[in-house]
Amino acid sequence: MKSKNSRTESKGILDDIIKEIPRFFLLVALLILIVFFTCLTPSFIRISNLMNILRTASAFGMLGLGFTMVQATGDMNFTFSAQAAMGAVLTGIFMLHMPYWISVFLAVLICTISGLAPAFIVIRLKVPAFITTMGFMTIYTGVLKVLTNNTILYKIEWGDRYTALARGEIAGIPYPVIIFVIAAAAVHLFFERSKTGRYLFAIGASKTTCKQVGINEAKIRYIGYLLCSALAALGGIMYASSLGQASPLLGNDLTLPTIAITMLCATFYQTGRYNVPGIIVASIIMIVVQNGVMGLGMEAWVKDIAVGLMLIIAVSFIAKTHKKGLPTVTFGS
Amino acid sequence: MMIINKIKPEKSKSKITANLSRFWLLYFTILLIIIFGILKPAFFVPRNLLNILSSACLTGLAGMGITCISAAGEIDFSIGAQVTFSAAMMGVVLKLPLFQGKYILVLLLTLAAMVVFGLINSFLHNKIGIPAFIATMGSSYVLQGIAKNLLEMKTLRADPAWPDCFTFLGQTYVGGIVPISLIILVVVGAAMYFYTEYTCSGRYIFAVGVNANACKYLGIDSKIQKRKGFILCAVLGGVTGILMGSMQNGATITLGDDMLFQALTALMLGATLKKGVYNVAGTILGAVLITIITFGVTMLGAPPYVRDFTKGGILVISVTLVTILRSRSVKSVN
Repeated sequence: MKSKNSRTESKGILDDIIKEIPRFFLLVALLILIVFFTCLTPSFIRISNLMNILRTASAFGMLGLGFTMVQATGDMNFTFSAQAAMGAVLTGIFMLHMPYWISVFLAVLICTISGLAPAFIVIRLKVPAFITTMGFMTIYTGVLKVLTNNTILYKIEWGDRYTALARGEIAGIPYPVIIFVIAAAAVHLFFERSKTGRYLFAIGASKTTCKQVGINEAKIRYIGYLLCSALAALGGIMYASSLGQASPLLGNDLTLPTIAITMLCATFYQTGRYNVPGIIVASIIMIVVQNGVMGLGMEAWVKDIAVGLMLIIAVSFIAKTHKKGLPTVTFGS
Repeated sequence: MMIINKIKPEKSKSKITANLSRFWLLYFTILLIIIFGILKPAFFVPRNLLNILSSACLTGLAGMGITCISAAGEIDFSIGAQVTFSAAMMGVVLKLPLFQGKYILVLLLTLAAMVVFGLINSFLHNKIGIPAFIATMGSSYVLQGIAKNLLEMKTLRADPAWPDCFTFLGQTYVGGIVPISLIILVVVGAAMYFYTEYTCSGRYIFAVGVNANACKYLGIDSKIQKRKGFILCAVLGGVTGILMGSMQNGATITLGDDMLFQALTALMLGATLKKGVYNVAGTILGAVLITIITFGVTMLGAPPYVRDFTKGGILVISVTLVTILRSRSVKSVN
């Protein structure tokens, strides 16, 4: 009897572990990828390279956090990529006249306000978000081209001040990573513990129900759009700072990786739901793949294929495990 | 929708306004041509107008593809990658010693590749169940990567190994005036118009977009209709790419980057013509309108960023109009 019991118990634990594997598969994949790239190019595991990866990953993570805000309410928001570029460009322009931190603050503020226009058209006029935000992405890019005279701002004009954010570090940990960890913790608490954060997901699950329960649906969605704009601007500033230049077309490189990160995050920890731990792991995995592929000396097209495949695989996984899908990404019929 | 069309407005006044609001796109296009013509008389030269039409062909063809898949209620994000890939494939395969000079064969092969790509999109959406815009977004990056690989990250320009007919589609003028691309647009447009408006097979695609559940009860398999939409979109994207490569006598890795945006704008503009319903004729007219604006603005000597404003502005305005028109037509049915 005893042995039988223990056997069933051990089977239960094994079952539990097997059940848990899909939830943490992303982390396992990350470890496998790190080992894989280290075997092929030993310099991959160097501290400086890893810190580089974390630095870029935190910029993308920031964008992912922002993108999730709108995604959770069931809207697609392409404007974030133009807003990231806007944050970077505005900071660069303001810096010529005023101290760094004030210019960052002003840039984020203006980007946040810029989120109101698409939000108004989508929420008030009920126009499909997918196309509206795409239109605004182009309009904002046009504005940035006017502001920069269609050129790229280089660090010659600012000296080292612009890259100080990305280059600076405390005890070997770059500033962007610290900022991202703080932001991620705040957003995690916002999603899990605050009313507004829960409402964001509730609206994504069913708008009609929210209305009937008495939630001010429009207000919550506006908050989502504004938070998305602010986080996107911060992410853009961090990314441009590590590049040392600010281009009006910066957003073009950010769109797909960010969307892929957001889709990957729903395969981790709380599967079938956007969550912050998932964003952290997904953004690191995204940059590890990009960095590792480039480190192997492969050409840029391999990166495109890898990112595209990752997006497809992530969403297929969600589609196969969760019949209902995600707020924006509804399955069925 | 059919019932609404049959009810005739009682007063002649409302008939005129109804007519105006229905065909505003057509009147607006004509008005715009006149305005540009007055501001810049060179705009009126027949050669210029034909040039506009021939470059509107690209947006028109891609827009028709997007119309087919949007009619089924889905979206194909990969139209830009399809354009880039098919232009790249034409250019690169024609350089291979095995296929040298076999233009028609390579053209058919490229279109076949696009059919396969459409099938892959449809497999990802229908069989695995990924929402269309995410599935095509992923597959578009994969295809873009393959195109970059084919082109080796470089720009192909007028290769001596290409046969002379490479530029036939894009740069020949019948009778010295009418460009071949315009004839292609008219022929393909007419075929697509007939297919989507007058055949059962075409109408089913639209039926699925309106109400997939009702189609299920009527015995129409929405998956098959969506598959048709994906394949038509991919093939038309391929035709656009071949034409574009032929016009520019080469291929670049960024050839189709703008195409999704323009095609969507043409689609939305066209939908305003028919109470918010996507339709082929409207899409072609929308494509012409966009091209006229782009050409006109450039001819007036505006700085390049103005194009971004006009492009984004037209898209947002047209999609807002479509939404308002749709909500109105639904109200009048109830």
